[in-house]
Amino acid sequence: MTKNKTKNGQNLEKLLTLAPGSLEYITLRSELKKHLIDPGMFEKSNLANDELKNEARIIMDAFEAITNGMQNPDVFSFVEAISKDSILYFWKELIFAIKAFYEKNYEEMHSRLLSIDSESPLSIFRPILFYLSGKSAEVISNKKQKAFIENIIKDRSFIRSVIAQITESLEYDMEDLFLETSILMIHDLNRNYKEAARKFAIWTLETASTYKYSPTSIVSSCKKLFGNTEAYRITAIAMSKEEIDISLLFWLQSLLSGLKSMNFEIHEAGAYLTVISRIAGKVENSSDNFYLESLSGLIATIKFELITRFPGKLENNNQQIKQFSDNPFEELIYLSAVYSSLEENDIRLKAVKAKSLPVVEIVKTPFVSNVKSNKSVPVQLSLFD
Amino acid sequence: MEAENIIKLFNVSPNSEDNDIKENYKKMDSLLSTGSEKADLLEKYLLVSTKEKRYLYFLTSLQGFSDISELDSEIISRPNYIGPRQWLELLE
Repeated sequence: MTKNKTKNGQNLEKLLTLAPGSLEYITLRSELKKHLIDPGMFEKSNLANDELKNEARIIMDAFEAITNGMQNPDVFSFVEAISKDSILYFWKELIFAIKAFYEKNYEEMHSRLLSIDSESPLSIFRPILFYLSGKSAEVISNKKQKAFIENIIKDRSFIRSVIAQITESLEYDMEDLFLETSILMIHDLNRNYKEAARKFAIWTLETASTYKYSPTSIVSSCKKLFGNTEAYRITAIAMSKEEIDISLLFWLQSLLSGLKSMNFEIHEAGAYLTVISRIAGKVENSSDNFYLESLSGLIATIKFELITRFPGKLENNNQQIKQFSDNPFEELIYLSAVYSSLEENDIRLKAVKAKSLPVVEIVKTPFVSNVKSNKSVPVQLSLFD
Repeated sequence: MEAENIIKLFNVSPNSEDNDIKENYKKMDSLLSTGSEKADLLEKYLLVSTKEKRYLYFLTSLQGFSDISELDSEIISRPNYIGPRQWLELLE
């Protein structure tokens, strides 16, 4: 660690060798807090204790996250725990000021910036953020600061031109142009605007569905960008208005993909099955054999994955599930009641049970017998390949 | 308020522990003075109080743009994220 890491050349090494809690330590910490530029120096230092190293890591992670627009609530809850006494306190305040700036919470930004000591090098951001938020009309004349401001508010003419191109492609019904430009846009947005990229992907899929364009290339791109679980969820959301039965297949595919991942918890499975159960309760029936085969195939695979991942639950209810196995929609409602802790799933299941012999009625329909004969063979739509 | 924003409001992620969100809720509740504010906060808390509820809200809160013009207003009117390096350069 070198002296020049602080604005006025203070020697941080001295602080780190003093006994924490001593008067000299507290006095020096209070002074150095005002001059700290690089929190990373503590992480590299052999003299810094584990607590300080940990705080430095949290600050650096949060600073990187907030300046890149990454959503990471856990990081910010760790930063919030850093106390006012910490040598990194002004960094904490700057991070929350930047966060508030991007969230347009200018009151919060204002109070956070004011809590940074005027002697601290971090106070350089105060007039800049005041200017950017419109809280100050004071002209920034420093060249470096002007360039910084321009980069923050730089016009996104590229986005405007892409929007115009997409609008035009729809107007003239040019499917390829629409798909290519939209996919390009999803990729571009995902670099800096993760949330907007997902929202735009949903809009693209909905629009493709409205115009009867093939969604395959969009789904493939989403899989590359967001991973299979998220891509299927996005597609499921997009299909939920116009093609709810197809949406159900994508929710199941997303669940299946999640079940195969490492950190998938039973709470998440329960949440997925609740969404699926809600849709199953709405769809209730279908006469499309290909669809029903796909649905039953997915359910069979999911049941296998659920039993493997969370043993003990479904096997213990083996008799009950047979009661619903002739109707895939009812089977999904049953599965949600087994794996979810939410009351709404039990209510839906009770409603299914209360129906007058629904299973017998459904068994008589041609599609159910077809489903039964293929039950052990998972069938997937080509879109999922 | 969008459900995902409720999760953000309590400063947690879906896989945070239930106790953490309860603590955050209690802290926020102690800062509120009126009954209606407290009731509103409780209502939001109950929507995301357990891990499964948080996952459910996370899964269902995302909605697409209703019109492409929303992309224009959401992105173009927002400040750019420029990464940590450009921020740190001002301190040099």
